[in-house]
Amino acid sequence: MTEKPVERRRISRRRFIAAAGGAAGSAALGANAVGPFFLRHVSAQDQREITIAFDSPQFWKDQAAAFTEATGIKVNYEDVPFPQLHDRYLAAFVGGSSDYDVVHLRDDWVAEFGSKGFLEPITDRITPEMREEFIPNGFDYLSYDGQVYGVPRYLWLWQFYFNTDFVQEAPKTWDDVLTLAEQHTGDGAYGYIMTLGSTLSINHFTIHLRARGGELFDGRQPTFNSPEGREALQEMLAFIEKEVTDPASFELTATGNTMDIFNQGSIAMMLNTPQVFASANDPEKSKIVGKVKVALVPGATLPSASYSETGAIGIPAASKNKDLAWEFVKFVTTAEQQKQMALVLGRIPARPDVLNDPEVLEKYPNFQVVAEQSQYKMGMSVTLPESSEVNRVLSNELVAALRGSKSVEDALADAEEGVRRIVGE
Amino acid sequence: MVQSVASPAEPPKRSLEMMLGERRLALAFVAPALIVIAVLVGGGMVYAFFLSLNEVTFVGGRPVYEWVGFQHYLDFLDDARLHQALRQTLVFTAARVIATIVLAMAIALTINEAIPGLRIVRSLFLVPWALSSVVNGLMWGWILNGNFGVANAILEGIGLIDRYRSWLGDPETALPAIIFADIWKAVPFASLMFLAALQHVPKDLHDAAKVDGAGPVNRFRNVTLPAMRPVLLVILIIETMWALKAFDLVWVLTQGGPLDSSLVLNVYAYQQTFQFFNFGYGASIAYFVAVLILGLVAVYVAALRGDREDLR
Repeated sequence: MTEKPVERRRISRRRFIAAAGGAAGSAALGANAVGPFFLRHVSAQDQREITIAFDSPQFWKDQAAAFTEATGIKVNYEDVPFPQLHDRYLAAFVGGSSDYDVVHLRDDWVAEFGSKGFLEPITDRITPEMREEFIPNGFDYLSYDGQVYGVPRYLWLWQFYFNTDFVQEAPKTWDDVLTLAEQHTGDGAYGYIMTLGSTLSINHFTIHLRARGGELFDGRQPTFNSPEGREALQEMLAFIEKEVTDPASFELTATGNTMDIFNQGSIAMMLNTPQVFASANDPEKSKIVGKVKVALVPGATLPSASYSETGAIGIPAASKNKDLAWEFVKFVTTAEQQKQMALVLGRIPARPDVLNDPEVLEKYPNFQVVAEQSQYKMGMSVTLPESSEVNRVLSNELVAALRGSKSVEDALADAEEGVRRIVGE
Repeated sequence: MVQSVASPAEPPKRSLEMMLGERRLALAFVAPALIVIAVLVGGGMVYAFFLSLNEVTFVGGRPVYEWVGFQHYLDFLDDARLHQALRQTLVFTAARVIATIVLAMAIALTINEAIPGLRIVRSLFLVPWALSSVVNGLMWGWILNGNFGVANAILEGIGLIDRYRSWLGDPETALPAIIFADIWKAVPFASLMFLAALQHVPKDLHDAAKVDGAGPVNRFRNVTLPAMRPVLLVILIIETMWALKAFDLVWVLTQGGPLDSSLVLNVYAYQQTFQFFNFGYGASIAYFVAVLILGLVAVYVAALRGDREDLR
């Protein structure tokens, strides 16, 4: 009987010194800008195990454990808070690291990472049946330059939420929202709240713009500095100028923070993500249990429009376990796992059959609006390889206008100029 | 060279020390560590400098280097965001260093007195310093929250504000709020350093000054302060370095916003590198920060050159 060779992770001295040198050098320089280039390490090749870096909720770890039980493939789960995921992946990718075998993907990350060769194309692995099983255009959102890089797991759709203590019937237009917000602002309460920190002002702007038939980009051409764009931003500004929006809106860098404020019961209406419904109905987190309703996002010249991101899953090009990783991708996107995800986490499943499952709809009535909402424009608005830089420029100009430090016209003109400089158009 | 001399009572030494001499022996002991540090730090710095002289793009997942010489450094001249980040970094540094030293000195002088219960206060004093910057940032994020932050409740309660304010969401208050949170964390360490120095000021000198008729202010100026100058220099250098390198607290609280009002150099370098994929330019900013630190330290050392003897 031949003895099975012992599996070892080997790191040569040269690589160790280079890696440590990178880390120490970058720390010495104070910017941590160079370390990852050195961080290369040899991963186990023969062992049936994969490594994932993703968000903290326990469900994802339980799902990984279920995969191991079903397949015998061990999963090393690295817990990374969502806001740090993009930069963590990037550090690994630029270092040529094969540490991760499965990564979370978003529509814009596909363009950013895919354009640089950091992701493994999975076009050939996707069967026609798979394409049929997921939301229409689901794979298109996760494609770059003709190649598919991810399989959709959930839809991070912005929806319109209101507290029935203030508002009993959903408003149909943004004008209606403003009127209602004026009525319900006062005595420590605000009619409306936005998430304007980080680059999230873009999401609000996108929704107002799309409600007028506009769009941020046409390919690589910025198209937001248009009559529709100016009207959309002016409409957002009215919510600030009339002081019906919680002033904390400017410091909110995540929709979860906005949800926490909404759950305290002093906000009448807001745009937010599917996490709200479960949280607002959790007595441990919310003072508005049973008082939250979700409706079609209000419109303007069009009946409605929204914004959505795809929560997807893909494989890094540097992974040494691509086939095992693909097994994981297939497992977590099955109808059974999607249903579990929907029931436990309240995420909108990317498979219509699961979205329409009676058990899922009973637990999350906010999903009932998804089908109707998806008839109108949604999806991400900036999906360029330069998304991060474009988002920074655009959001800064939008906030400048909303703060009144620039006119709407100047802000959009400056944003267009800045964006054109970045994308070279 | 200083040679060790065995006392008559000790047996004669046949050791490495005798063969090499005390100084060479010391060097031999620290040499491995020095070499490792030199390779680690030096290697990283050389590579970062190389990066800063190149435009780095990625094709097929692999880096492609295009030599641009000092172009990234020349680009500093036209980069308005960098200018803003530099201005704000210097404001951040000056405010933090001055406030920390003044407050820490005042606190050290206070807790140096033999007041009952101060031992506990001294211990508690370490808590802010022991917190990680990220935890400190999260904590101050809650304290300063524009909706239910305790800072707003207190300020409104004592009548300083008439309505809750979004301290971190307002471009006028974001940087001052971050500086305040940073000073809160920085003061304990400096206080303890000053306290340690204070306890080594000879009591005889104070007594002699008292006999000569010097009041508390004169004694502080002419006795305490000169004795503390070496520690003051160390604190000045350390605090300046830490302030110029500020990143985590700013990142957790505002990510440099709103409207870049709290953007500091290291946050900008991080954005350029890890968000905008401009690795060469990010490295050049990192190098700029390093040179800035070295320059300021040189200025401090030169300004306090008269204390060289004390420093030995």
